Amino acid sequence: MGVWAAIKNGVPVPRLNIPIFSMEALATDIASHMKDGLRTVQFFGYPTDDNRHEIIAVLADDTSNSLIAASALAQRGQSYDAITPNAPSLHLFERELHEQTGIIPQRHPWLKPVRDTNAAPHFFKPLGKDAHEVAVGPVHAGIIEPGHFRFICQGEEIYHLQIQLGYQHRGVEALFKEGSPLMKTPLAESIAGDSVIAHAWAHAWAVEALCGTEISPKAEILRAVALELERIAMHLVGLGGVSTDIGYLPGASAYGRIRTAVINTTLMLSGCRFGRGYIRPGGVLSDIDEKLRKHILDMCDELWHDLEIINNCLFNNPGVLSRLEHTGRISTDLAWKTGLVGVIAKSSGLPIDVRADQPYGIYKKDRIDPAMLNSGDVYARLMVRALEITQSIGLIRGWLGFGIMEGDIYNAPSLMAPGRFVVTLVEGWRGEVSHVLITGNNSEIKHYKVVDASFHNWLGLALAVRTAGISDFPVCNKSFDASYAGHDL
Amino acid sequence: MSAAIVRYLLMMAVSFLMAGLIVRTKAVWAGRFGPPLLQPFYDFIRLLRKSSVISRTTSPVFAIAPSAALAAALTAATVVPIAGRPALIHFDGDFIFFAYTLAMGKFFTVLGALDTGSSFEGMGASREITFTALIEPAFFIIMGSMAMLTGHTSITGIYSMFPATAYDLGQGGFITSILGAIGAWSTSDLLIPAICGNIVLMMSIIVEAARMPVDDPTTHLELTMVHEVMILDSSGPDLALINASNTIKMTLTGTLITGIIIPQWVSPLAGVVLYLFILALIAVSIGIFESIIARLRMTHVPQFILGATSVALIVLAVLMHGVHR
Repeated sequence: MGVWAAIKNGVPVPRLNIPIFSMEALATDIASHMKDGLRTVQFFGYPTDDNRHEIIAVLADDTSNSLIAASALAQRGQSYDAITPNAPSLHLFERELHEQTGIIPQRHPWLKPVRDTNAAPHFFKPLGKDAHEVAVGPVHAGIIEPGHFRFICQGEEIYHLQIQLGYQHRGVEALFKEGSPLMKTPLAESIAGDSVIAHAWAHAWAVEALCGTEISPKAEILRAVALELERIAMHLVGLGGVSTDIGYLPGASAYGRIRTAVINTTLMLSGCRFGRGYIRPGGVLSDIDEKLRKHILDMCDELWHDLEIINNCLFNNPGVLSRLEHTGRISTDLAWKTGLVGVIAKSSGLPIDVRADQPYGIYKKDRIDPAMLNSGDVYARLMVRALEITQSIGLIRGWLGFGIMEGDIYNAPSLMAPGRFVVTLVEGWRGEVSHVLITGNNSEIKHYKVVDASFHNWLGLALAVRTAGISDFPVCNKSFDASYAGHDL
Repeated sequence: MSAAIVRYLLMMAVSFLMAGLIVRTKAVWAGRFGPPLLQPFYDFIRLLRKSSVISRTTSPVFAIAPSAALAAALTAATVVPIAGRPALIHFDGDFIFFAYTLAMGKFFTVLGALDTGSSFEGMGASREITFTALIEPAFFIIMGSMAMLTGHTSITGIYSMFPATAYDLGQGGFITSILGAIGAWSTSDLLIPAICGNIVLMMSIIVEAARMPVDDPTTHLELTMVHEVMILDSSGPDLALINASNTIKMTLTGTLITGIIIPQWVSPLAGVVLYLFILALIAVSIGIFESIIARLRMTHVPQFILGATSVALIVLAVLMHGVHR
């Protein structure tokens, strides 16, 4: 096994400090590291100046709170033994690598396009006459994003689900390279409209790290407040969404109502209900005053009170429980093998949470204890989200409860250092959001890579609905709440 | 006869109101104002004025299905006694006519759904037929038992045998009349069949009109739908007719319930008032019921529907007891 470079979340290293292995050595190293309990954070390739591709892998060692990185050089059309048969969680990373660089992972079990919707369809066909296919999408009945789902069913039972995404592909990663690198936060905010703060933070932090800009402690706290408000709001959306899907009217109405109070608070904090325009490289753009601090705390009190009532209704209603419990189960083992992160991992017994594992910002000081359940069903996923709301309220109260410190909220960033590599991890409400920024010799953005939690989690949905009734798919889907845009980029 | 026609038309008119009242109840329960009570009627008119988009894969069956469904509902309605008075037409065995005319309407809706060749609609059709087949025995056990107890085989005939009192509003006063009616019911052989009949009919409203917890009429999730998914390909006037036949079916079943409750001795006007009141009560209770429960898992729906059959079996037991006595 080669010696990998030890790096830290959000700490830039010179590009040349990352060791270069052969493609085969990198692949076997990754497989054996995965066996040792590491997770893949990033695995991607980008073209170098001499017409080759540089493949970079970043793995997370959550027990020692550290990251390791290594790279390899490969040519287009070159093939290597796929890692996926030994480490299934890399299956989508290898497919993406193949699609973006043309390097061929040999013996990959399912080397189909990730985002190219014009490619010939790659679907397994059921053999025999007993099973039938049900195709849903990419145009859906509700106001949701496009994605194609193909179920192989026998009667009402799902044998397998195949998910084809890519309809939202906008070329986000390529767009980061155009124009001034300091003006790209609106793009980061548009990666997934429901994870504005998480992506903006990951992006701004990457830029700050390369510029060497120090963020004031006050701005760190305000970013965390915005992130936790986003988490609360989106968890409320998820709880309300599942209530709607199972026709539980009190849940649908109540969660919708209290969510409005939360996003209206984000509006007062940032000027936008979804937090756009708040985080920029260098800090945050609007300050908090005593009145707003009080308002946020009052909102938290009210939220706490209302939540207790509606959570009691939802989680104690026998009809609701019968829909949620044992539906769409993901075992801990399966969750680990599939490489799930965030809420989904936490509800399947894997306490993966960047705020605890690779702490950053104010979370270095205020360590959190990830909410975790073991049953891995829809109930667990909802319960983890409910628990995280209360946790987030607690965090906000801790940060704002005794007043807010004096100080600047913004330090203008300067030029980015050339030839550097930085990876940032932020725990969005879905889970891990990871950005990689590599600068070239002239401080330009050489490559930008984004991995949203949805990228890790979509396959989990396909596995969770196996043997479930097809009418339970919507509630499983809502409980996963994966983003189409975040996956498609 | 002309009074019967007026009552018949009244039922058609009321059906839109009933659908509107359910929606309004749910809205109020959720803390909203909700759409106007007549919104289902406005939708009906709006849809009638639109044109239909018809899939190229369909055959003429798809085109006639909505009209057939509405015709079936309108025909079945002719044998239902409204507001405590005899039905528009009645003949021996008309409860069988009632059930199978509705079944024929459903048959056409299902054929129309299958005709589109969509996997969704096939799924919905399969669910709808399964649930209908499960609720059917309950209805026939109830109506059959009542027919045996009363010696009549038409719905009007059966209802005419429900206990009435010698008092009327003019002589004994309202309270005395009510007490008299309760006294008459309490000693009647028909008491248990009537109570069980109301329960079974309430459950069959839920199944037949695709309400919660069997089906969620407000959902947008094709994979969970039962009735709604069968009409995904219908649009314009076709959709209007199907929606109308569905609301009429719901009101028909509700009317059967009112027939059991409304005493024979009230005046025609009081009968109509009572009829509207009880229908409104049914709509509000459906609305509240839908507001506080979650939808059943699809695999649990048959258990729920079979509950209706077990209630109906109580009536059968009473009947056997009566025969042996």
